[in-house]
Amino acid sequence: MSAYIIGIGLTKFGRHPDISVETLAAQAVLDAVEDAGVDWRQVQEFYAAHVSQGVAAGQRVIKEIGPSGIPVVNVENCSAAGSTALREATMGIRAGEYDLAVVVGFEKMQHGILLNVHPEDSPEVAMGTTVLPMRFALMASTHRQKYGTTIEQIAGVAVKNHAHAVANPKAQYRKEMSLEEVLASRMICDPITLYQCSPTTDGAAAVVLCSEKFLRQHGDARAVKIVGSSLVSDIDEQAHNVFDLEMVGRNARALYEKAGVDPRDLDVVETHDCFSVAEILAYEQLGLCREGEGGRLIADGSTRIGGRIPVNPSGGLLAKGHPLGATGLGQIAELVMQLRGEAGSRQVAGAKLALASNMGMWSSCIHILSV
Amino acid sequence: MSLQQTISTSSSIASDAAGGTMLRGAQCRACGQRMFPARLCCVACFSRQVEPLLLGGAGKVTAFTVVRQAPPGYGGPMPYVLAMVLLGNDVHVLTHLVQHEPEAWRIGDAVLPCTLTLPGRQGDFLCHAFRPAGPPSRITGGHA
Repeated sequence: MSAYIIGIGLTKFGRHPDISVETLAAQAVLDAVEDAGVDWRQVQEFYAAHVSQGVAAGQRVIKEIGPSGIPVVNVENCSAAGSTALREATMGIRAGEYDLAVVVGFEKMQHGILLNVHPEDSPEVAMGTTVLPMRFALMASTHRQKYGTTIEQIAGVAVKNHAHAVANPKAQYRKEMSLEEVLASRMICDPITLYQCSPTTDGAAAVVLCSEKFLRQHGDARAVKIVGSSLVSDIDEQAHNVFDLEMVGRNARALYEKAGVDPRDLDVVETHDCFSVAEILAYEQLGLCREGEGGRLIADGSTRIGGRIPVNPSGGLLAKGHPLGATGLGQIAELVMQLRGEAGSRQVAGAKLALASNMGMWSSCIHILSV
Repeated sequence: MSLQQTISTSSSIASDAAGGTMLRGAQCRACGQRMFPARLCCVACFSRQVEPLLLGGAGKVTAFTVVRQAPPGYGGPMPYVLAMVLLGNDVHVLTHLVQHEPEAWRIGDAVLPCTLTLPGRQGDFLCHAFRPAGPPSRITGGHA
C-alpha cells in the first residue's frame, strides 16, 4: 500500500513577530487542505511536529482550525521532527489505519546561535561544546585533510543556495551573495563563517497525505507518491565521538535498496544544509558522487539548477531558513512543487524523482518522492 | 561569607601515580572495546560487562576548529580550540586544546592530557584538555 501527497501549505519563512505560532501553523494546514481539495472534516489523523513550541502544541493548532475530535500526535525529533512526523503518517496510511492525514511542522525561534541542547548545569555547557557549528567545523577539518576540499568549495554551498532562493518567494533571504561576501562574514567556528550558518526562522509547512484507496475515489492528477520513507539514528558520534554523516549514508543506501531506486536517477534533491559543509558531505552520503568528490560538485556547478543534479532549489536551510520543526516538511513542499512542475522560475526541468534528506540530533530521515 | 571558590571536577578526569592527568574511560570485558567516557554498556557489543579504565599517554589531533562565538554558559577564554584527539587507534576524545596559539595547531600534532579550569554555573569547573607533547619551544604559553 502506498501513500500519496495531495496537498501542501507553506508560510513564508522569516520573521513573524505579530503572528502566534498556532496561527502560523493553522495557516499552513488550511492552505494544504485547500490545495488538496478536501474538506477538513474528512481528515482522520493529525501530526504536529516541532522542537520547542511547548506542551500539546498540536492541540493548540487544532483549536485555531476547528476541533474535530481526531487523534492529535505531537512529534519532537529535533530538526528532523517534520520528516519524522511524515514517516509516522506514512506508516499509518500504509498499515490501513486511516486514509487521510495532515502533517504540519512549525517553529518560532529565538535569535542566536544554534545549540546542541543540554541542561544548563551540564559539563558540556561550561566546556563550550554545545555550540552546534563546532561539530560541522570538525567534519570540515576532517574532509579538508582527507580529500583536499577547499574553504572556497565549502563556502560555495552558501553562494549557490542564496542564488536559488532569489526565485523562491517563501525564502527568508532572497539576495545573491558572492563568495567574497560569504568568506568575509564573521568567523563563527573555523572555517564556518556566519553566512555559512542557517539562520533562526519562524515558519510552518504542512502536507496532506492519503491512501491509494482515497486517491482513487477523490482523484488528483497532481498527486505525488511517497516511494520511500526511512528514519535512522546516529552511531558514530554518540558511541565513538566521531563527527561525520555516516547515519545519512547508512539510511540512504538501505532506502535505495528497499525502494528500488538508483541515486543516479534522481532529478532533484533537498538536503539539510544547516551549515554549508553538511551539504558537501551529504552529496557523498546520498550517492550523488563518490566519497571525497563533494567539493567538486560545488566547484563545477553540478548541483545548481540546470546542473546534473540540482540540490536545494528552494535555497536550502541557509537561505530559505530553518524553522526547526517545519524544515523537513518545507523540503517536502518544495519537492512536491518541483514534481508538479509548479516551481516557477526555479523549476528543475522534467523532475520526476526527488529525494529529501532531513537531519536532527542525532537522526537522519529521508523521503523519496515520484510522479 | 566565604571567598573560597567552589571547584567541581569533571567525572572524566583522574590522576596517575605521578600526578599526571588521565581520562576515566572504560573497557568491555566481553569484546575488548575501549571507550571514553565510560558507559553502562559497551558501545560496540552492548555487553554490560564494562570496567573502568584510565586512559593516558600521547594522543594525536585528528581534527580541530577555533570557536570564535561562545555559546551561552561558556565563560572561558576566547577564542578557544575544540578538537578530536585519537588515543591509541581506537578512542576518540572531544576536547579543548590549550597552551598553543589557536592558529599554531596542526592536524597530526602530538598531545598529552591535562586539565583546564573553566567558570561553571556553580563556581569553577575542572575538565579534561590536551596540551602539546612537542618540545617546550613550541609552547607559547598563550590560551592556558
